[in-house]
Amino acid sequence: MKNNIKDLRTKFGITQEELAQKAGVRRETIIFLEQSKYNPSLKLAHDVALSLKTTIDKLFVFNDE
Amino acid sequence: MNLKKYDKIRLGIVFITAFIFSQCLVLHNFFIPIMVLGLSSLILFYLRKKVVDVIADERDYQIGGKSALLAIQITSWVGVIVMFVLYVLSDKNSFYEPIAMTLAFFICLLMLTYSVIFKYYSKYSSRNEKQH
Repeated sequence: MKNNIKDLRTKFGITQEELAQKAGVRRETIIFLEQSKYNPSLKLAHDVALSLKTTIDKLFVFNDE
Repeated sequence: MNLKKYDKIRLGIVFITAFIFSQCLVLHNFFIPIMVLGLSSLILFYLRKKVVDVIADERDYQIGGKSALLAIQITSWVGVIVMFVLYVLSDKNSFYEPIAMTLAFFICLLMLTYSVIFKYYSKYSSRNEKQH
């Protein structure tokens, strides 16, 4: 599962640390999310999407799409 | 308090506790280690509450769960193998038999505890999960 977290984060000019604080996770989790090495829970996906002012379906790209 | 400062203090407390614990056991004093262990746990619990950063998140819990399961499996297998070896060797040395028995009961207890906790979480975790 790929995602647009890095693109949107850089677009809004926020750091990984700031995004992690907003989503309530550690910075390492954001790093793994951006590298598509970790599939988040629905709650975390929602929090990250909310922090980046977008929706889950726009943020994450599923392989079968 | 930030996470780095907390980690440094925690490391220091663990080091001091381990030193006092080992020294007291060498001197056959069992009261002080228990007191030190309790006190250090309380201090760490208090400091943990003061940390503003996220100490552990869902990824850590997921990794922790996988690691714990693997650790239990490895411990069980190693324990069973060592137990059988000790039983076989118990003809040569009778001291091996009680060790093998203790090991067998320890593995059973470990598996039983794991099963009970697993059953509990699979039944109640969705109901009792903390709201973030």
